[in-house]
Amino acid sequence: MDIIISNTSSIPIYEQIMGQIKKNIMNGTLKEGEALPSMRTLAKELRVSVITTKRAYEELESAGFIVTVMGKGSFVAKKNLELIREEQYKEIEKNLQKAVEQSKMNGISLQELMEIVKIIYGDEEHE
Amino acid sequence: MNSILWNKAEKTFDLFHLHPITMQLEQGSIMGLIGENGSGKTTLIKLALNLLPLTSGEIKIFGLDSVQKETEIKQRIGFVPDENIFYEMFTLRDVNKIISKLYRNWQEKTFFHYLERFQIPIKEPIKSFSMGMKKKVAITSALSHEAEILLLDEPMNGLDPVARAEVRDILQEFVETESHSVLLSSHITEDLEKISDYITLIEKGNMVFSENKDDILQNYGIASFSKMDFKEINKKDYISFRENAFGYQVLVKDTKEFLRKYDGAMIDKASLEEIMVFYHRR
Amino acid sequence: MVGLLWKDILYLKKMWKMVIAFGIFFILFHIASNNSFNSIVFIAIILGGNFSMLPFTYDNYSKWNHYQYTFPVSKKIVVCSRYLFGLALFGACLLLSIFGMLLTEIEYLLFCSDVPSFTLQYVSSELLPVFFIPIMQAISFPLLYRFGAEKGRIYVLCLVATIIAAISVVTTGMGYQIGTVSISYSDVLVIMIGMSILLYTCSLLLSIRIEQKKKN
Repeated sequence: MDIIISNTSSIPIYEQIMGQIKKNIMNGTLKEGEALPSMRTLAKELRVSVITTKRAYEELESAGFIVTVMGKGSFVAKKNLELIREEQYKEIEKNLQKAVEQSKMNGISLQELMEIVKIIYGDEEHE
Repeated sequence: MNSILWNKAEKTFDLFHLHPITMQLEQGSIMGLIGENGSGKTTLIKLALNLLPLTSGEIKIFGLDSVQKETEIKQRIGFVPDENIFYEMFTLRDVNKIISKLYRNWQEKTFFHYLERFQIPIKEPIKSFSMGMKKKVAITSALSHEAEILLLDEPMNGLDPVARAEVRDILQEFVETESHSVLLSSHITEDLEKISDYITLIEKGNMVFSENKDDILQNYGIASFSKMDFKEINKKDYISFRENAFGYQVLVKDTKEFLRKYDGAMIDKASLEEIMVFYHRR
Repeated sequence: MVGLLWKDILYLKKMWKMVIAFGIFFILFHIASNNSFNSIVFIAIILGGNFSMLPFTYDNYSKWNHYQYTFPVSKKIVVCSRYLFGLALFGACLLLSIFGMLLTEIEYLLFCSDVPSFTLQYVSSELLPVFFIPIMQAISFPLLYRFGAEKGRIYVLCLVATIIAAISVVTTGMGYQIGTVSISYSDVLVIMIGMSILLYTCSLLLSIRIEQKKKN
């Protein structure tokens, strides 16, 4: 499993870790019920503080992605990932709604909007 | 859960005053204590060990009062002092004999295991050891009686980079047990940046901050300005400044906030060392 | 406590050359002394007492003093172990004395016909001087605790010199004859033993008090 974080990014490290773990869950690298590395081990490997990894795991747990069992560790939630996917779709739809509204307001066509989306998405992949 | 809690701990000397400090060492964590010589770091540690009496306030270790339950607590703490305290003529066999009777849970096997790992001879007198070896002996002793807290006063002094890496590994291994914790004071801030969970900065007898290391390194920044632009910056927005031949540098506590106010400013991440130095200039 | 005791004992062990020299010196002096009371007392006090002070000096020198309370030991235990050490030292000197006494016997047996019999008085006179050691320890330890190893040592030597001078004056100047009329050697021995126990115990309590009062 890859977890890549950047010290120079403006995104807080715990958020980066969350994003990376979510990605791994979504693309199947981390399977349901699979154990995650302990907070301490992750902290050690990434050279971050255990508070940071703890926070990442806590937030992942409240978002429903993982489950932490006292004394045993953290595991990918057996929860319905479909539901989580749906949640995310909803979030994205909300954001897109805003973008679409703003485009319409300023006379930006659907095609132009699509171009913008393509460029932004393209950037993500090159990073 | 606190391993150690300093609750408004205060100490007054003739020439120095450690102002009431409230801070905690959390279980399962490593805290790095930074600050210049004479800032009060060692005093904090000595107060916890009751080597110095508190002027006011209290300290609780494992939930017990640091003064009332002193000997009970010390069974469970490993302390690594800045200098060698064993008689120089003793060998490590002698040291083992002595300390094994001082600690209830002395683990002779562990003691010799670490000495072997560090490649320290057990039949030679301590006076023949290098400074680094003496340090390793002290660390080994602290690790060999099932201590739950390690207090280290400048443990990296005199160790070469390889040895320092080893000690870092050992400390991280130590806190893998949730109930263990480590407090180390060090001038070698790179080590602290690598393994600390919390960093506490003590400056002139005051605690400047005691925070998550990642937050500190993420939020603090060094902003650079020309002489002209520097004049526009509000004093309240930075900790202190440093002037050089080509401009000014300031330490900023919250980079995001600062950029919001001074859009386009040149900001770099601040290292612990720089943070320490800039606070000293305040 | 045992750990601290071991520290002092191991230290003495490292100084074995000094210890052996002292032991031999003590025995030889015992044999050759012709029961010269004052000189034996002198040797016993100076050497036996001196060895008791050495750990104080070394503790100070090696910074052990500074950090010993990082170990799970209370001030009471620290002081008690030092007094135990003193007692152990005294025990060793007592054994040496007895050994010396036996050697003298053998010497007499081999070279004289006039063998002093093992009367109570004879044994008492031989063992008397050794009991000055715990008395000297009882006097010197609190001084060392109170004033530190360096200054304390000077005070101790001055005090001891004064006491020895006083004893010399009393025993010779007054022409006080022990073993003839009023008091027998065995009585003096009993008094000495009693005094040693009393002084040693009081000294122990005093030292504990002194150490506990220290702010550091």
